Order: sequence, then structure tokens, then C-alpha cells
Amino acid sequence: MAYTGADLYRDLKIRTYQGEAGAFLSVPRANYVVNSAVINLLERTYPLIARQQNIDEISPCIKTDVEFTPHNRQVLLKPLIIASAQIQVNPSITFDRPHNLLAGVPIVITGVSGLTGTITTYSVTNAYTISITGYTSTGTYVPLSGYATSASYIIGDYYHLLAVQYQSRVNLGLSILNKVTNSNLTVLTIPSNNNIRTGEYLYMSGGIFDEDVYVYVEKIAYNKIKLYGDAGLKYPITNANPSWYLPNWSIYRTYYRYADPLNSDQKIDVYYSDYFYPLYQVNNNRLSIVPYNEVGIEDANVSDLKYVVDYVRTYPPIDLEDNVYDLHQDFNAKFIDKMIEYATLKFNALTSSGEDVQITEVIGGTN
Amino acid sequence: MKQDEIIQTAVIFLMQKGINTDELLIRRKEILDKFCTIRAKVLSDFTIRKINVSSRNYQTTYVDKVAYSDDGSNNYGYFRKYPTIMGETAWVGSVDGRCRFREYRTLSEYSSVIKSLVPAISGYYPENDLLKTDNAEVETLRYNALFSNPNEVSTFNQEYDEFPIDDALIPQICEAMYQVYFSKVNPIQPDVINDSTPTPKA
Repeated sequence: MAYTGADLYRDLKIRTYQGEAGAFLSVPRANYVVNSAVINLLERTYPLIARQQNIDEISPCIKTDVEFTPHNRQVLLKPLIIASAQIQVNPSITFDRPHNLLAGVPIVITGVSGLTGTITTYSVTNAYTISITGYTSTGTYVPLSGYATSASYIIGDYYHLLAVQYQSRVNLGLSILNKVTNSNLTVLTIPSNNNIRTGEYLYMSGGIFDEDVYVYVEKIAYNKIKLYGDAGLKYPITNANPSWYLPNWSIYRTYYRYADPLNSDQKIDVYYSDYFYPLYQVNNNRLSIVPYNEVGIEDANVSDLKYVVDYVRTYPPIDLEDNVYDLHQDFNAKFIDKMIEYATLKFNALTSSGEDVQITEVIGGTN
Repeated sequence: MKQDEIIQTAVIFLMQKGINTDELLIRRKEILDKFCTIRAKVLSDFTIRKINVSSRNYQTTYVDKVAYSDDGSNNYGYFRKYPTIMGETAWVGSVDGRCRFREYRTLSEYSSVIKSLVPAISGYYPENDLLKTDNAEVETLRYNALFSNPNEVSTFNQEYDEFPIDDALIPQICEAMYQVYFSKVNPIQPDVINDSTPTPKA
């Protein structure tokens, strides 16, 4: 059975002894105390979500394993606010902060008439501005009223970070010294100082046909690897795949490593962030991981693939006059009960004396 | 245990001592580094006392020739040498394991062999972080040793390889790591009057 915003409003009135004629708990005031309660309770629950009981309370607000593609070693948080938008054919859009967009990355714009749907046809004019082609903006744009977001490049509904996995591709710096290929196998000779192991899934790139491939490898000698097309190492790559034994290949390994936080007062630490022990920063509305080499210089051999992020999303707005949408989609019953208790406290703080608030705490409790 | 498991074990050990490495922002890489340092200390103690350590602590690597001789001849070449614990090297030789190379203890001994042009006797002379070998035909060395920091050995795979430490030594290393690096960090006071609560400082 659905529990709607109107139900919540009714229960809040019962809890606060505010009947229909009370009038003190108006809809705007109720909206204020309820939304204040949501923020407060999310903040209280967030540090405790190591326990499933607490996770369940806000689980609809927790997103896990969401993939984002970094650009310039970062993923932006929260939507890009549009500072100004040209009203014309092929308009330019200027944001209030660097957009970090790459031309062609799908974006969705809200608040500018005519710019609807997912837009990919744009070029980057500068760090703040993009130029859209194939669209015509209309009407009048009120500065800072619209925004843009991108499902895979911007964490638009970011509220709290829980965990981030850094997926990177590392050039192993191994030259291919020799290749043997026939109808049965392909074997590469590589330098001895390699740490490739049987079963690894490696990426090869940079051949003369510019075709990149993933291969499974079997290490058949300290300096020789045999290439396979399957994880079970049953189907060797043969000369039937002519583009698969290209000269000038570089060999890459993909790492999937969870990151620790990098705080500003820890940056003097000599244990730098790297691809194996990545450290993340969340500041200036961005999530950033920069891999360094052993002397503290950004590691050019490491390219970013993905950030896989667990996070608490922004809370859904609650409409206390709505009688359709089920709030249990977003919060469980225990959380809603806490929400009413906290909202009652807040309401009493607004409308009563300190003694009343104290009594309410004793009766209702907070957790 | 693999490297990540070693770190996890060390973290749990420190937590038992009342040290939350996450709260103190002690990075996992730092924990591993300190573990390696203490591992070197523990293994060197064994080495000094002439106690054999198990082969589980050794690591095998392969090293390609990095440069020819600096005198323009082809009489010898250089191989990179990773730091070892107390210079403890079990084996240096050919990659197929058939031929063990002889170590020359002095430069004069090494030079005399070079000058006598007896390439049949493969040998090497440790020089700083390089191994100088007398045989220009040798392209790759197989090297088995107690390396000081397994992570620095380029053939070590952090995800696939077992960390070169005997499991039996891990508690000893963790305890020593705690004593050397973390004991002053521990905020828990001893319960000297045995009333189940930490005795406050006077």
C-alpha cells in the first residue's frame, strides 16, 4: 500500500497535535521541516552505513558501481549550471565553471528551450563554453536557471561519496622482440624483466593497422607469451587473424583498484597516489584521481579508463500534497518514522518554547 | 599470501593494538613499505645468526643485459641488481638453471679473469647496483635472492604472485612493525590496577 506525501503530512499533523484547524503546520512550514528532517537523517545515517540495518534505511538513495568516464583525470560532480545561452541557430552555451567536456560526450540540457534530448553535436570553444550545432534555442534564457549533465561523465546527483574504484590502463613498457605465428599459435618474445602471468587479460595497441586487441596470455617461458582469444586458454590466436600480430605493439595491463582519500594536509606524504594504490580527491565539485610515478610526477604511462563510484545521491524532493507517488520507493518505513520525529522536533522548535522541545525529545526520542 | 592480503593482515594486527590506520590516514602503500623494511630486518637477523630461512622467502627474477662495457669492448656487460638482504643471494646463473655463475669477490680477481680471456668460466662482480659479468655471450641472468623489497623487483606481479615471505614469520614481522613504528601511536593506556578500564595518566 502506497505511503504518499499526503499520508506523511497527515501523520506529521497527528504527531504534532496539529489538527485541521490548528493552522500552525501549514504546507510550506511542513515542507520545510520535513525536508530539513531528510537532510539531517541522511547525515546521521551516512556515517553508519557499514551496517545493513542502516543501509536499508536509505538504500534507495545509495547508488553502487556506477561507471563514469574521467577526462583530464577528473569527473565533475553536480550539474553544470548554464551562465548564459545564446538564443539562435547553433547556439553557444557558457557555464559558470569549467565544463571539462570532450566534444561529442552526450549531454542533456535542462532549462533552455529548444535544446532537448541528448545532445552530442557540439564542439568545445573554451574551458567554459561549448558550441552546439543542429539545434535552435528559443525563448528567453534567465541566467543560471538552466543546467547540463551527462550520465556517464558527470555525477549529477552526487551527495556523499562512499567508495571509488579506479580503473586504469598501464603501459608495461615491454617491447616485442620477436613474433612467431602459424596456423596453430602466436608466440611473442618479450624482455625478461616482465611480470606477466598466465591467465592475464592484456591489451595490445599501437600496431601499424591501428587495431587494438585484448588477448589472454599463457606464459610459456620467462620471456615468451602465447596468445589466446579465450579465458580458458583453449583457442590460440593464429595467423588466421592477420591483424593480430602487428609490429610495434605496446602491451598494457588494466588495473581495478579501490582508492583511499587524499586530504590536503596529507599531500606532503611521500607515498604518492599511483595506479596500484590510487588516492582520490573530492573538491571544487570534482572527483579526481591522479596517478604519480615514484618521484611524484604524473605518470604518463597510466591512462584513465573508468571511475566506478558508490555514492549517496541527492535526496528526492517530497511533495506533501501529492497523493500518488509512494515514498517507500525512496525511504523505508523506519526512516519515515524518524523523519516525522525529527520534523516534529523542528516544528516545535519553531513554534514553541525550549521546555516543549525538551519534553518532546524525552517522549519521542530521535533514533 | 598475496600482497594485498599481507597489507590486510597488517591492518588487522594494528587494529588489535588499537590503531585504526584509516582514521590515522596511514596509506596502504606505507604499511606495505614498513612491512618490507621489518621483513628485511627479521630476515637479516636470521642471516647474521647463520640460520637458514625457508625458500619461501626467496624470489626469482630474470635480468636482461642493460649495457655493454664502458671500455668499448665486448668482454663484459652489466645487469641490474636489486638490493638484497645482507647481500644474500642463493643463485645467479643461466636462465635454464644449468649453469651457475661464479661471483668474484674482488675487482682484481675479476679483472684478471677478463684479461686472461677465459669466457668459458662465467662469472660476475657486484658493483653498486649492477652485476658486471665477464661473458659477453650472457644476455640474461636468472637471479634467486632474498630481495630487500619484493615490490622493487620488476618481475614481481603484485596481483598474481605470492608475497615472498614465509607465513610463519608474518606475526613476528607485524609485532616488530608495531613496536618500531606504531607503539607510540597507540592511545590505549594499560590497565595497571585491573579494573577493566584504562588507568588514566597521573
